[in-house]
Amino acid sequence: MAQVVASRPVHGSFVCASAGSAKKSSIDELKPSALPSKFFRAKEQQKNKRFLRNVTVMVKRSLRAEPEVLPVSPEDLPKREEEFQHLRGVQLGNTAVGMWSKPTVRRKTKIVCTIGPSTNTREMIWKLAEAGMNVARLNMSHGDHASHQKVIDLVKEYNAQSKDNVIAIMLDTKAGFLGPEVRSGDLPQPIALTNGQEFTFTIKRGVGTDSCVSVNYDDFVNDVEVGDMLLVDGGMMSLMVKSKTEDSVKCEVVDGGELKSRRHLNVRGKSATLPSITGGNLDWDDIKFGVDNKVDFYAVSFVKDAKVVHELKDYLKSCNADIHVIVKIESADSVPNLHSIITASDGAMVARGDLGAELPIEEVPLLQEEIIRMCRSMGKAVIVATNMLESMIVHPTPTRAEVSDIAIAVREGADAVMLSGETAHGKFPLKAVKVMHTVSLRTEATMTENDTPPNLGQAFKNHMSEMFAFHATMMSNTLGTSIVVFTRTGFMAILLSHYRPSGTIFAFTDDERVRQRLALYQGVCPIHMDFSNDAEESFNNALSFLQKQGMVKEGEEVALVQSGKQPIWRLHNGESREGQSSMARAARGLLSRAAREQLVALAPREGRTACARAMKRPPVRRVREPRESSLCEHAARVRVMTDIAISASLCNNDSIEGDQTLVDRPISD
Amino acid sequence: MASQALHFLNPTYSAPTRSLSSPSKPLLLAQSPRRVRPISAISSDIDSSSSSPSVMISGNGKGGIFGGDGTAAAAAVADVSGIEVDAVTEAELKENGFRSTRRTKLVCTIGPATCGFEQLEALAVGGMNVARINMCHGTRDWHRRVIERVRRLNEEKGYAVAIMMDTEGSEIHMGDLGGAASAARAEDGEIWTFSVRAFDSPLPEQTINVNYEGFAEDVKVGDDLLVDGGMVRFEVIEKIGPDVKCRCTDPGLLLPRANLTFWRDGSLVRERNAMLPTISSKDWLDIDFGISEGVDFIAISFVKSAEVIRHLKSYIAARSRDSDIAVIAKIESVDSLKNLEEIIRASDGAMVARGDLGAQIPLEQVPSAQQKIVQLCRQLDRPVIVASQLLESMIEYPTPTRAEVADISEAVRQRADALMLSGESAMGQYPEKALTVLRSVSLRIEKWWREEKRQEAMVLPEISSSFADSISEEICNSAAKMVAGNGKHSGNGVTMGLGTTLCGLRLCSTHVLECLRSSWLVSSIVIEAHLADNLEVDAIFVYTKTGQMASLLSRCRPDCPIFAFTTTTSVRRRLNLQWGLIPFRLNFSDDMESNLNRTFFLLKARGMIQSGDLVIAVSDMLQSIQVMNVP
Repeated sequence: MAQVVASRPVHGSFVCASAGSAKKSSIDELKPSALPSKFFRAKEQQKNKRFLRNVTVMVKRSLRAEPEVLPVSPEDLPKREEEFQHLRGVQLGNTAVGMWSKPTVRRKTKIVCTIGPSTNTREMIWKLAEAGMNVARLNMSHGDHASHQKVIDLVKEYNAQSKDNVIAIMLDTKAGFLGPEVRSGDLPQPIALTNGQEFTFTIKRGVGTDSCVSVNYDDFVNDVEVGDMLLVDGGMMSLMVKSKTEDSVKCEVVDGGELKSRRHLNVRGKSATLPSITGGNLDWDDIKFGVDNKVDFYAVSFVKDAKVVHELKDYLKSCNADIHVIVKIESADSVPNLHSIITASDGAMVARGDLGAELPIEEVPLLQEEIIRMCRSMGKAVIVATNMLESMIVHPTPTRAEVSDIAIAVREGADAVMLSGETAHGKFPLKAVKVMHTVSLRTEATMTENDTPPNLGQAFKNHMSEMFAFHATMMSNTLGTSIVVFTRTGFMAILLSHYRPSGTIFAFTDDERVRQRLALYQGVCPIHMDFSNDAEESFNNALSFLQKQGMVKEGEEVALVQSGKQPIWRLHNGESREGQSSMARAARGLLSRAAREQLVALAPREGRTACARAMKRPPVRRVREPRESSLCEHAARVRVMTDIAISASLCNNDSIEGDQTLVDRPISD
Repeated sequence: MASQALHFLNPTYSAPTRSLSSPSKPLLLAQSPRRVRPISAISSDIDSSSSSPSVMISGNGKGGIFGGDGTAAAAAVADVSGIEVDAVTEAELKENGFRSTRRTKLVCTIGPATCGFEQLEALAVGGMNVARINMCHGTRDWHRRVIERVRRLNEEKGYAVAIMMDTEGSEIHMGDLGGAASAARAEDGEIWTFSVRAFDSPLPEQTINVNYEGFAEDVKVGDDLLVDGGMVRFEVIEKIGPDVKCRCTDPGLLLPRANLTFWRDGSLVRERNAMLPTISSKDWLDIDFGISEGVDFIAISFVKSAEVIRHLKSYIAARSRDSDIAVIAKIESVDSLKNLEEIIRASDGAMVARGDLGAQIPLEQVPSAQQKIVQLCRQLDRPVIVASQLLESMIEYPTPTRAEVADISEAVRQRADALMLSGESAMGQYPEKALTVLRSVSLRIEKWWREEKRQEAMVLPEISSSFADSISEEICNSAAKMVAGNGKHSGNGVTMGLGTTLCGLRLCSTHVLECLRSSWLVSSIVIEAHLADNLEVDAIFVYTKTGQMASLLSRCRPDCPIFAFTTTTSVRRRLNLQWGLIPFRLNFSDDMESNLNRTFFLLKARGMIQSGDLVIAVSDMLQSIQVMNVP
């Protein structure tokens, strides 16, 4: 260790590090564990009494966190299946190796369930929550305010009594929000349409015969053209436009079927929200309903440009409502404006049903990937929705394609996957949630871990927080720890989530609303806690809470992160270095020692120059073993970047041993 | 003709073992057009007779003329028909050029919905590469008629649709349901009887026959009985002699011959049925039928070990000396996952049968198992088919669910050789639509892949055992790398390709290496220079008699299509299963120069290539790489 640190020129520590670690990694491949242990031994001899035991333990263990899965379902294979044994992780024996136990693996990808007739009872909501629901979605195009009110109250009741689980509420203003969908009119009875048959849509009201039905949209005739393909219910039936008159459109049936009342119509390649419908007719009733009930998210349908989102956000601001806006990307029109729409909103939902009807269906997977990538690069939440477990509306088992689809969404890094009809009116809502849960969990476990979190780029203006989250993630990944974050606004937890750390993010917040909202974000486990004035006390409270809930085990390491730019405990306890600014409280005493050594050398001389340099340097760099040294470096870097002032004061005080800021805190009672 | 050629002279070279003729010793840059007896179609395939040998005059007149057995009678006819390729590929090539041809192959199961000649033709037009017949259903006569129709289609319309026969396997499954009922519905709480008794009269109400005789002894009260991997679930409540009474806990449809598994304490019980043979007596009869009908592939269900595959292959070899039926192992049980590598090595290809796999391992593990199998097959140079429930909802509806589209896109991204439709094409209402969805999604994802220039990091291990084979392998790898390395990074790509080639060869005897290396180094410079000037390779031409070299090329998944020229129709059909291969039948000789001239002439005459297209040509008779522009 000493060599690694010392041999590196101080100013160049950020630049030269890659060369150094590259060399190391090649050596490591030959002898993975011996090398660090040598370093440690040298270190032990030097001095140090306090972390000696921890150090040896750490060397023995492989630091790369093996994917570990708890037996998640009764279907899990019997133990003799060696083929899959590695997925299950080695549970027995390994936890006892040292005081450093592995974090419990929790599902990271969240599950959004639509609440409908099958699930709107108290019993079902409780059961769904236990099965893994994280967000309850209410579809405003079905049901009335009274029934939604009931569900919201039930969810709130659940949240109030549940300590370690929380359900967020999402209001989906499907039809009637930004203008109704185009739908066919009422029919006395379903009409059987055969291929080649002629059929007419008219804008006259109240027509419903065997060969003609009305359409609820007056400009329908003007918007479709001869040769267009009309899709009923996203493609269940299709009709080709043959000719049109002033008030009607004659079509030929291409794919027959049974036409029922009030079916959803699309024109292939054109947007279903036809041009005359604009944000002017936001359904303010629904919005007010949401504001009154303090829901967490609005999902906005058929967003074509950022204007609507701004309008809604302005309104919400004027009522002082803290509600996040998720845009549903579901029309061909929204695709060109994707960037501006997502920028304006707080998240996006890939509503694949309508996308697949308006665009060629083979574009949908590519678009899904693109939207997820874009949202993640901008630090927004992203939900994959529609048709995820469609067959489970009537069958108890998903098709293999559906299982694979969930796995894809998880691999692509969506924050959440959504169930619509499966839970709203399906026969097996609990089973569907369970399938999502197990598939996500298993997929997360088999995903190859990145040592380096993907860089978000210029997602946030708040560069400091971003770098901060990046390095905190990096450290927790390398050490295989969970992250504990204290946040008032949720910002830091969301930021951390977007770096997708391999451990769970335990987000402590003193705001019930924030806690509820964080339920949507990948990997975040939100917990409510009243912060005390003393930072130390809050940390201890948090850790003992986690332990009590069984979320962390004794001896497990966690990385503590205070909130972002605005620290929670600013100068409260009088110790300037404690409250200076946001700070990763990285694990391992070793780490902090080495970091301190670097800082001692660095801080007084380099000061802000080093800080500036560190920030300019592209942050993505593969850091390999020896992890300890890389960690030191990270810790140092984080400190340099964020805590220049305090590090100087540290050195002056010469109180390094007593410094608590970077000291690890093994959990114990 | 501007061409750089790189030939191997290998003193110890002998034709690959599967080759049908005795090897003719190739010479370095063999220029003199020697008359070589072409390998005429020896296979027992009935349509081999249709490939009448023809005399060709090649474009610039200096090429060789090769007529089978000197029968020049039919010669005058077939200027342009001397090369066989199916109409769809031809049209696609003419219309869109090389780059946009579909690389992922499509397999359709033929059933009641698609067994007519017109329907089969519609499928072929829609892009079907392989027709699968499922021996679980239908009689042999029915299957024979389907095979005849596919044959006729190939003969009359020039397709190369291969035929895959899928055996039933002998896992526990239900018998036919009583009477004419095609399906029965089990409702929640109903009591059903599963019996191993043979009923001569129609089955009593709510009774199901089970084919496995030890069934009643093996199950215990309290076990869970899963039909078709969980579509319906029963709980065993009572055992009465041969009858097992079960209560339905998950209602659903019972289909005849549905697979049965039973679970105890949350784990699959499977020790006993491991005693069942993999290939049942009915399967052997079916296999005999397949051999006599000359199918191209036989897929074996519930493979447990490589032994079964080897056994079957030796049986096929003994029964029919001159046909080469490929054996596809269906991976659908825990045992087959355990012995995965061994099984894949022993077989000629694998199929990820996700339906049954999902019944045997937890459902959520199927995606990762699929990924693993696809990857392993590619590494071991075996074609792999992703099958079952790709477009399940299209059995009833004309549009797929979004999940299904995403699933297909994932399989294409994994670069599986082929995707398969089962019920969707056999008994669905929209077989052609389902095929269209497969085709358009594959095309789109492949295009995206090329546009994004995604490079996958797959290590292809060396798989050849003999020296001659490893030369082939290295040639193929290099050729593929030349394609990948074109454009901006052309120089690097080629150098790397050749570099690794040298490494690969270093294992071989040193004195051979010496002469090889000198020729390599000289040529590498030439190729590099050449490629640096050019932007894109448009196609790889491979002349192969056994198909092995084409397969090796396909394994590298190069960016451009691979035109595989082969002398026999059976090899041509077999190659139709593999990723990116466009198989042609063509009589060719050992003289590459004349082969190429002739091919260029024929293809140009059909409008499938144009002057100036850049091609890489490799051949397994004369192990060589040439890079050239079409004159």
